[in-house]
Amino acid sequence: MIKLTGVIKRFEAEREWVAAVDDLTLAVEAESFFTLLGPSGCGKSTLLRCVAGLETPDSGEIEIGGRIVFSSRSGVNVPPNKRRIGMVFQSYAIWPHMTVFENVAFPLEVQGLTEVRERTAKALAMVELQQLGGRYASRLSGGQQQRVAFARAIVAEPDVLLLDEPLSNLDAALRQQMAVELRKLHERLRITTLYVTHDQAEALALSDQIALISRGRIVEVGSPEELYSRPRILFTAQFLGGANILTGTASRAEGEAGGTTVATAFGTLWSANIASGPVTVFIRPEDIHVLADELGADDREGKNVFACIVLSDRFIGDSRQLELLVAGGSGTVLRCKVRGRLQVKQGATVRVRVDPGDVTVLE
Amino acid sequence: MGPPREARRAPAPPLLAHEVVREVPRSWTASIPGDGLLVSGLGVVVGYLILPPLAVLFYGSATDTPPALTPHFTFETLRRAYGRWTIYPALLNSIAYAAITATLVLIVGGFLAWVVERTDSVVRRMTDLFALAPVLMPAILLISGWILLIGPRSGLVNLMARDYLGVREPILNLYSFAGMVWVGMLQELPLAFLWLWPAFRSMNPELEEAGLASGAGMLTVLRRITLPILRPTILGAWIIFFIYSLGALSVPLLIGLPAKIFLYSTEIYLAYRRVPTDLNLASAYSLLFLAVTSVSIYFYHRATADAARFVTVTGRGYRPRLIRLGRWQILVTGLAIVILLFVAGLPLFVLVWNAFMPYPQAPSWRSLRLVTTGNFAAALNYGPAQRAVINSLGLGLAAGLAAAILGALLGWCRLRLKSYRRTVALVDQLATAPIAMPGMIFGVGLMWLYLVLPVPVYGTHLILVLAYVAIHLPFAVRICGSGLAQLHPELEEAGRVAGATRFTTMRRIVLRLAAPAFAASVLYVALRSFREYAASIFLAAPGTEVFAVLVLDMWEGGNSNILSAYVTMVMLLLGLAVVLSYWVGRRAGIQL
Repeated sequence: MIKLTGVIKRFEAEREWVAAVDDLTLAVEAESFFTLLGPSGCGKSTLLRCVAGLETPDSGEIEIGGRIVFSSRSGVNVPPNKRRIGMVFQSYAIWPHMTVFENVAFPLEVQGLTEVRERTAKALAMVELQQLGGRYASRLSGGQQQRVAFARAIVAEPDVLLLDEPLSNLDAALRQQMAVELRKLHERLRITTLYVTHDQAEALALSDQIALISRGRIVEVGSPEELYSRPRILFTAQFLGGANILTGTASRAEGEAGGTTVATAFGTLWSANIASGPVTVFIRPEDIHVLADELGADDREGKNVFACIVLSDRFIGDSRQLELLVAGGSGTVLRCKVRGRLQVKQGATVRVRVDPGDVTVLE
Repeated sequence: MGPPREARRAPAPPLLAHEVVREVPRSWTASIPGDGLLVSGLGVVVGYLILPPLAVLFYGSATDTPPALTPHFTFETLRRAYGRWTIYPALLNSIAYAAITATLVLIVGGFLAWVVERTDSVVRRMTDLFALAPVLMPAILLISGWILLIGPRSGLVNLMARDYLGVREPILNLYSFAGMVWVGMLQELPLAFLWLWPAFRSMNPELEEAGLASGAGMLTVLRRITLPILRPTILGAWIIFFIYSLGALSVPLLIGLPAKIFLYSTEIYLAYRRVPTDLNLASAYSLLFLAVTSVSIYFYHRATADAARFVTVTGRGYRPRLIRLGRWQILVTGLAIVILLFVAGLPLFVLVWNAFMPYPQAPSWRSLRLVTTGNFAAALNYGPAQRAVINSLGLGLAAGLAAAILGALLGWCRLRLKSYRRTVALVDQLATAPIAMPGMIFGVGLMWLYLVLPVPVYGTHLILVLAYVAIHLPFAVRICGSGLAQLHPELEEAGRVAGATRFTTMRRIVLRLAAPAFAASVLYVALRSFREYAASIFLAAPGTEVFAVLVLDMWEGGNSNILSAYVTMVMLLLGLAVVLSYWVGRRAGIQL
């Protein structure tokens, strides 16, 4: 539905040209919820604005719904008001001198569409703001403004919906609630959605596909599960959730279980992946399990069981974050996430175990 | 809201875009034709307003023939101008006058701004009054008010001293250097207040609170924290007031001339007024003026370039901490009120008193018998009195509108246009250049220009509008610019993305939201143009008389009571006009 080919956008920053978007190629399927995720300043907003027509790339091609809206080669540059998009801005950009109804009706009016009153009412009903139509937009709360912005974006039934960090200005509780509603609305409307955020939890919760962006380039693209559990790049592993990054030398494991053994500074790690030579592996904190003191059945195999000293212990409520120093003098520190109710003493020695399937080798 | 538009379905998207541009837009290439046209149009208009009058001064200085005659290029004029030794004391007088006035204005204005913005003095609520009321008052009013108050012959104070104290000699003589400085300072006080007050307002209170927490007393905090932080603003303000005072004409003419104190601006005026008029000399003198003010502006930019470093606006928008005056309340508030009286109250009182008196009289219960309304009738019948007011009103409005449109367009280009940035910056610089050019320079320059050019502009209303727009353009740019800057760019982008064209977005979103700033600009420029004196005195002609110049005429004719009646009526009219515009603005604002 949206195709970006070789898009480059440069900005002048202190006498130097910096590429905010650096030769980016991307394809977004119709009706999917596609998120551009990355740290601040990585170029994701710039990319979104290029799709919207609010920024003009220096080169490349952008296609929306099979129609070329930008091409540096053939000199095409469709202005934003002709691209048939809906956009929700980070500041919501609700016009304070108009009522809620007038705000939402605006796209229908300026595009010369019919049934303005009915379609506006329908859009407002979809975001559950039917009663507020007559209120002046400047008297709304943040959450309400966001809904108005959303209603305004979808009222003219655009081909694509662009969302520029729409939840970042809301408080934590409201953010969660709105995220759930956003996803539900998407499933109802099935408009191709391009979403920009720096919040990885949001991205994981909302998206069908995520593109991780850093310094104007795509690092990795995949579904939330793929990127979280089986990332290929170190950056991805670290950005999406915590990660314990370890290095070592891999060699094929003996035995029917197959897999790989990785010789690390603190011991041997078993991984279900296949690899050889020097590798980097990562383990998610929630995949490190703290064993009961008595040696149990798990201990029999002895694979991926290590003794550690608890360095610090932070209670988060539903979980507890531990810093564990692996015994043996290697100085390796692991971060581990366990149930909140588990009682651990600082300075105590515990045994931890990792399932070989949770030890992932990165490219 | 409203009935649905006529049934016109959204067209099926074509294979290729509607609008095709030949190249990918870069900063200098012509992308969207509209943008380039707008920027070059603005450049041409602003350039035309400001550059030719300046250029023509050089032309006039290089010749010794009057305008419209075949030019005879020579150095003689320059030699005459700068060879006369009397011009240099005048220059020194001007610099001394300007420097002392600027310093006093800064101290008093700064004090007022501080009282209003940072203390809990009761006078805080009078801010609006203090800032706005003097804008309504022409400089002439202030000067004539003080002349009527402490003029040696007919000043009320002196008359009262003679009547009640038996003193023969005037105890206070306005016609002195001190008198000039006094009135000059009062004249600029409102502007100083307006200039400095936002700086106090936007200071991060935590900076001072940290000082207090460290153990410093209020005065120490003021001295070692507040003032140093405000240094760039204060320095910049001083330079601006220095330039204003250098270019002042009304005080040097009305007070300096009778006192035989000659300032540089007076010399320029006298060169023009002598018979036969010596415009070449006036132009030659103006050059040095320009040089001095340009150098001052250079220092202004140097001083305020640092301001960005010192900017303390928190962005959270909460008011700075107020200093409790406690036992100082009476003194401080009293002082502020006295200043307010001097600037606005007393001159007004004197004026109104004299308007009802047949001849200058000390106020007393006895003189109440003499109350008459004859002056008002006489004022209405005084030559072109009525026409002058109508002219000034119309010209002010026209100039206000024109300047506001230019200011708004320029502000929009500067804030929103992504291409042509360097050109826009240049035009913006040009548009704010008139701050360094006293009105008188425009007066001489425009007069010369339109005597030379074969277009029927000299002696018409148009030449006055051109002068007013040029002189006040910096204000319009600043007011409209900051109004536009308040708007988040996403408000406009949302309009574009929703499907509106640039024009519709401007019309339905930008202009509506920036309307208050726009209206403020129109009003402010109109009022300042109404009072404008230094350029009008060169450019007004029979038929295009303006208020400020007519008042000077009346004064020179010795009709101070008729003058008082006239000014009183005009001030009432202006006051009504301002109230009306506020009322209209509020009505429109309710829908905002």
